Amino acid sequence: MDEKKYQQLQQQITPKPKYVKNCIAAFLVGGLICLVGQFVALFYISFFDFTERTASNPTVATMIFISMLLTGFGYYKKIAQVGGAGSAVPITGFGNAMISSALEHKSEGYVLGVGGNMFKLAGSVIIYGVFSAFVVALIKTILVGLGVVSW
Amino acid sequence: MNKRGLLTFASKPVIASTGVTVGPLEMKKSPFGKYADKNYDDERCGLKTNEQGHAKMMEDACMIALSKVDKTPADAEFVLMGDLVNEMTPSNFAASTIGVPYIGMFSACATSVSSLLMAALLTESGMAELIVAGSSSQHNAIERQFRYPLQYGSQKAATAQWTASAAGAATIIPYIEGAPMITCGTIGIVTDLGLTDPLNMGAAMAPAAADTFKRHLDGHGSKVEDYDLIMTGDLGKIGFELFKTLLDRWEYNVSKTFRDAGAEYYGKHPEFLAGASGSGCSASAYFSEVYDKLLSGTYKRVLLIATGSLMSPLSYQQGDTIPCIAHAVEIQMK
Amino acid sequence: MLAGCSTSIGFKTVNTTDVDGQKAEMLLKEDHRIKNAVVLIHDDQLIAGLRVNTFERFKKRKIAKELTKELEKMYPEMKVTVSADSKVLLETNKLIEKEDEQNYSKKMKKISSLVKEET
Repeated sequence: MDEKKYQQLQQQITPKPKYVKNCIAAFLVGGLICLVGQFVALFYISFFDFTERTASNPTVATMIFISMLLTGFGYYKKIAQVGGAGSAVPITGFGNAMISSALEHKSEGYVLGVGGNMFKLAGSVIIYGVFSAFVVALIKTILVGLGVVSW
Repeated sequence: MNKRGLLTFASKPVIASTGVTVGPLEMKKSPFGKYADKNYDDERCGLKTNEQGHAKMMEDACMIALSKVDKTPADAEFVLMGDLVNEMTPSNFAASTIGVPYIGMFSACATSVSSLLMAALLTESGMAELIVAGSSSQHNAIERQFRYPLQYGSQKAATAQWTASAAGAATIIPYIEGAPMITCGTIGIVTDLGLTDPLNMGAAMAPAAADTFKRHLDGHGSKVEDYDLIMTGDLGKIGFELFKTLLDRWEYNVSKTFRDAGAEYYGKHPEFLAGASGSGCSASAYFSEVYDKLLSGTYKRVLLIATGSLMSPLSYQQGDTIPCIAHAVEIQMK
Repeated sequence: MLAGCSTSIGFKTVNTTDVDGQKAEMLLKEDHRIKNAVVLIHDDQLIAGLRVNTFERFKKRKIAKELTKELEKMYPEMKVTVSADSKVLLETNKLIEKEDEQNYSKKMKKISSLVKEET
C-alpha cells in the first residue's frame, strides 16, 4: 500500500475539525470564564481596599481556586471538551494543568509524585512565558536606547 | 502459496471458558457490560492505585475463567497475558498473585489474539493441557501513560478513542466437544504508513488490519461469506470506516458480518468520540458476547482481528510514526 | 450594589473650599474620552475619579497622567489625584453620597494612597 495514497484516503475519511463551531464555543466559554473573573474582581474592588489594578492578584487566586474545585470534581475536563482554547487560555486552564498533574501523580507520594510532576504541563507555560517576556523587554530596551520609543 | 505467519491448528484446541471483568463506566455505558462476569463499583476495585485496580481486574478475570472449568490456578500450566502499562506491571502483579508459570505478551491492543494464538500453539504442541490467556486495560492507568493527566482539560478530536477499563481471560485446553475451536490464525506484519497522530490510532491501525485480513483469507483459502462474523479489535469508528474502505477497494464484499469492538464498545454515547481502545476492549468483547454467541450456536465461524498500535509516548513525541500490528484468529463451533 | 461602574453617575463635582471647582469639571467634561467623572475638592486635596470610554481603556493611565498635569497647573496649591481606576470613582462617589465632611480628609488620603499602591 502506498503511504501517500493512504494518507490522502485517511484525510478524506477522517472528519475535519469544525473550526467555526470550535471558535464560537471557545469564544463563549472563554468569555464566560472572564465574565466570572470580572465579577470576582468587582467583588474585591467593591468590598475590599483593592483598586482595579491591585484586585487582579486576589482575583487570579480565586479563579484558580474555582478551577481547582472544578478539576477535582471532574467538571473542568467536560468544560474543556466544549470550550477548547476558551478554557485553556484563561488562568483557570493553567490552574487545571497544574492541579490535574498533581492529582495524577499523588499515588507516587508528595515529593517525587506531586512535587516533581506538578509543573509537568504547566512548566512549559512558565518557561516560555518568562522567556518571551525577556525577549519583549530586550527589544523595548533597545528601542528606547535608540530613541525610537519612550517608556 | 506463501505461508509466512500462517498458523493452522490441526488438533483444534478449544476455548473451554472465559472470564470478563469490566469497570463501572463500562457496566453502565457499554452494550458489552451485560455479558461481563464481574464489574466493580470503583475504577480502582477498592485498591489504592489505578495500577493495582488494573492488576485486580486481570486477576479476577483469570480466576473466573478457571473457576468456570472447576480448576484452580494450581492446575493451570501457563498463563499468557499482557497490557499497556510500562513493563506490563499489572499483568506481572496479577501473575504473581495467581502463581501460574507466566509469559508476558505484548502486542499492544492486539494482545487478546496474540496470547490466544500462543496458547493454542502450546496446546497444539502437546505441552499443555490448561492455559489461561488474556489481556486487560484500565482507563486511568493507560490514559495517564499515553496521554495527559486524567483531569487535564484538553479538547479531544472526533478521532480520539477512550481506553476501556476491562479485562478478558480465556482457558484453552485440548480438543473436547461442544466448545469453540481455535482452528487457525495469522500473525500480523508490522504496518507503518507514516501516520503520526496518536489521537487517531484507528486510522493508523486500519491498514494493518486490512493486510492481516487479506493474508488470512488468501492463506487459509476462505471467503468473506464463510464467516458469520468478522470482528476487528479497536479500530474505532473512523478506523473501521477506513478498514472497510480498504477492503472495498480490494473488492471484498463488505457486509454486515463486519463489526468492530472499539466502535461498538460505548454504544451511541457521543462523549466517547470514536469509541473504545485498549487491550481490554477486544479481549472483553471477544470473550463475552462473541464467545457466548459461539456457545449458543448463533455464530458458527468467526474471524477475530485484534489491532494494536506499537508506539510509546516517547516514540511519538520524538516524531516517529506509529507502527501497527494486527493478529487474526479463527474460531469455529460445531 | 455592584453598580460601581454604571453610567448613571455622569459628571459630578463637590467642592468644600473657596477655589473654583467649575474649571476642573469643565476640563473633564470637554474631554471626549471621558464618560463619567467625580471630582471632590476638600482642604488641600483634589481627587478626580474617571471612567473613560470603552476603547480608551487601553490608554487610561496615560489619560489620567495628562489630566493630573493639567489639573496641577490649574490648582498649583492642591494635592491632585487623578485616576481612571474604577475603585477611585466608586469610593469618591460613595464619599460624596454620605455627605460626611468630617471624614473627607481621612478618606481622601486613603483613596490617593490606594492609587499609588503597586500590584
